[in-house]
This record gives sequence, C-alpha cells and structure tokens, in this order.
Amino acid sequence: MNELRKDRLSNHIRYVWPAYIISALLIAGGLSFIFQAVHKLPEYKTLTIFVSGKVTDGKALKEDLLNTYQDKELKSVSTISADPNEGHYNTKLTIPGYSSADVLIIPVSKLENLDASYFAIDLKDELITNFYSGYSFYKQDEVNYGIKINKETVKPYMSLPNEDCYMFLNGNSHNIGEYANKPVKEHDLALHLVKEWGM
Amino acid sequence: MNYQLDISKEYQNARKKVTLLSLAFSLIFSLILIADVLLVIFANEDYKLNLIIAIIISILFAWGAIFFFPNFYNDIFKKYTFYKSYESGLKETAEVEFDKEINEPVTKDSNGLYLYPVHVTYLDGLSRVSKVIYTLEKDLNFKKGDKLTVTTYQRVIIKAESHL
Repeated sequence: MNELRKDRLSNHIRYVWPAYIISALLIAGGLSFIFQAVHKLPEYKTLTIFVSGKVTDGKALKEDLLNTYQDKELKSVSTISADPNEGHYNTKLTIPGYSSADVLIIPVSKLENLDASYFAIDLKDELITNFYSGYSFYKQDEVNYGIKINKETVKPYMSLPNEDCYMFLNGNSHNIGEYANKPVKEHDLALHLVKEWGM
Repeated sequence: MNYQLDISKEYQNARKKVTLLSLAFSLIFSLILIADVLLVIFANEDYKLNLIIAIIISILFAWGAIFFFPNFYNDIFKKYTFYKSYESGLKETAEVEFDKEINEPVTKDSNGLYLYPVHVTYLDGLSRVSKVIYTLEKDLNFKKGDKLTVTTYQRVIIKAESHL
C-alpha cells in the first residue's frame, strides 16, 4: 500500500468515524423498532401491576408469575411502583397507573379521595361467586370494587403501607375475561392473580 | 521511444470494473435486505437472537459500504468518468523537454485519480515554461533532456513521442 493510500485511509478514519457510529445506532434503533412493531406481545400475554409501595424483588415476582401462569401464555410481567407518601403519587396513579395497569394495589387511606368507578370495574355477584367468594371487599356507594390483598402472599416481592390495601381490576385491561371493556372470556390472567393474592 | 495510452481499452476495463462492483454491491445489499426481512418474519415473540443477528449483519454491511465507496469505488469511478469524457474533451498537444518523473502517486485537483507527476519544460518559440503534467503509469522511460511531443487531456499524458 503506497503512502498516499495510507494517508487517505487514515484521513478516512479520522474524519468519517462519526458515520460509523451514527449508522450503527440508526440500524440498531431501526431494526429494534421494526422487530418490536411486528412482534409486539398481545396485551393478553402481558400483565402490568400498579403497586402503591415498593417492589422489593421484581425479578422473583416476574419469574414466579411466569411459572405460575405458563399455561395461560403469560410472557411478560411489569410493575409500576409509586410511594403513596410522595408528591407525584396521584400523577403516577393516573399515568401510567389507570392507563396501562391491569391490577392496581391501592391503600385504603388513598381511596378516600378517589372515585373507584373511574378506574375499576365493579365486582358483580357473578364474578364474586366464580372467583372471590368469601373475600373482603372495598365498597363505595354499596358497590364492590376492590379485593383486600393478603400482604403475606406478596411480602417476598413488595413492601406495602402499614394499612389495608386493596386490588382493583382495571376495566381497560385485556386480562379480565368477559368483564373487560373489550371482553374475551379466555384472557383472564388478572382475575386469577387477584384470586391468588386476595383474602 | 513512444508512449501511448490505450484509451479505448482502459475505458472498457474501467467500465467493466464499475459495472461489476455496482452489481456486487446491489447483490450483497439485496441479500442483506432479504436476510433482514426473513429474520423479522420468522422471529417469534422471543426475537432477541434474530434481532442481534439482523443488527450485526446490517451494521457490517453499512460499515463495509461506508469504507468501500470513498476509498475504492470512488477511485475506479473517477477513472471511468475520466476515460468516458475523453472523446468529447479538449486535448492539448505541445513540444516539451522531459525533466523528471516522480514515482509516488498524487491525486490531481482532488479528483480522486491516482497520477504520477512528470516535470517538463514547455518549448513555445523562445519561451520556456516549467510545468507539472501527469501520467497514469509509472516509469515512462524517458531521460532528462529528451524532446517530446505530448498530447494531454486534463493535463494527463495520453500520448508522448520522442523526437529521437
């Protein structure tokens, strides 16, 4: 290789290196976007839980739920946590809580100022008979909305406030079977989860 | 001693190389594109492996293209356009005295052509003007003081005839 070509190659590396970095980033980003768009997990295979407190072991929670609900095709578990004592709690509860969570765990003290009908389905007699017979409920205007959570069951995964906490089923969820706004009877992961964690 | 650059042959060679390289690039690009599409189509919900393979082959291809075009393809393409424009371009014929040639190439006018500088003195009546012209090939085998009639195109020697 002659000197001129060596010079040109070293100049090329010196001045064109950003193109290598930018092209790699664009390709990685673009392909990730395409793969994600084409193979997006159906919503009934993902479970999102809003936790009013701290998720202490998200990994174990995910693994345990994936194992438990393997036969129901659960593929992804995610959590949204918010400390009820922090200023942004209500904002987090609204976005992304109301908008994307399947199950919302809320302490009773926070429920006093909330309209449960806004974010949770009312637990009809049929649903209670089929899933939650004998459980404790959170009532508002004589309508059952929440199921009391058994803190001992979730203790390995999260730390909740020292008061009663209730689980609510979001009407927008795709995992509450025929009780969802878009009902599909077979997709009832959240109903089973609440049954397992409730008391 | 004479020197004659066979423009038509060089043009054909350059054209062949440009065509081959363009075809090779298009073929590899198509294969990479097809591979990426297949990797997307045949991936399942756990698509990490497919995604990583697609990213690696695409990045390697892009980096190859970024390196190849300015450093190699450009040189061949410049030669091709030089020969292509020769027929319609202005040629200059002049009497010169050969001074020396330099066997390390340069790129004239930053146009990407690799050329060897040749120092000559133009003999125009009583005036003598030293100039640098270029040749595409090393070692013209002229000696210092040789009187030549040179035909140049864009200051590149196409033909040189010794007066001896």
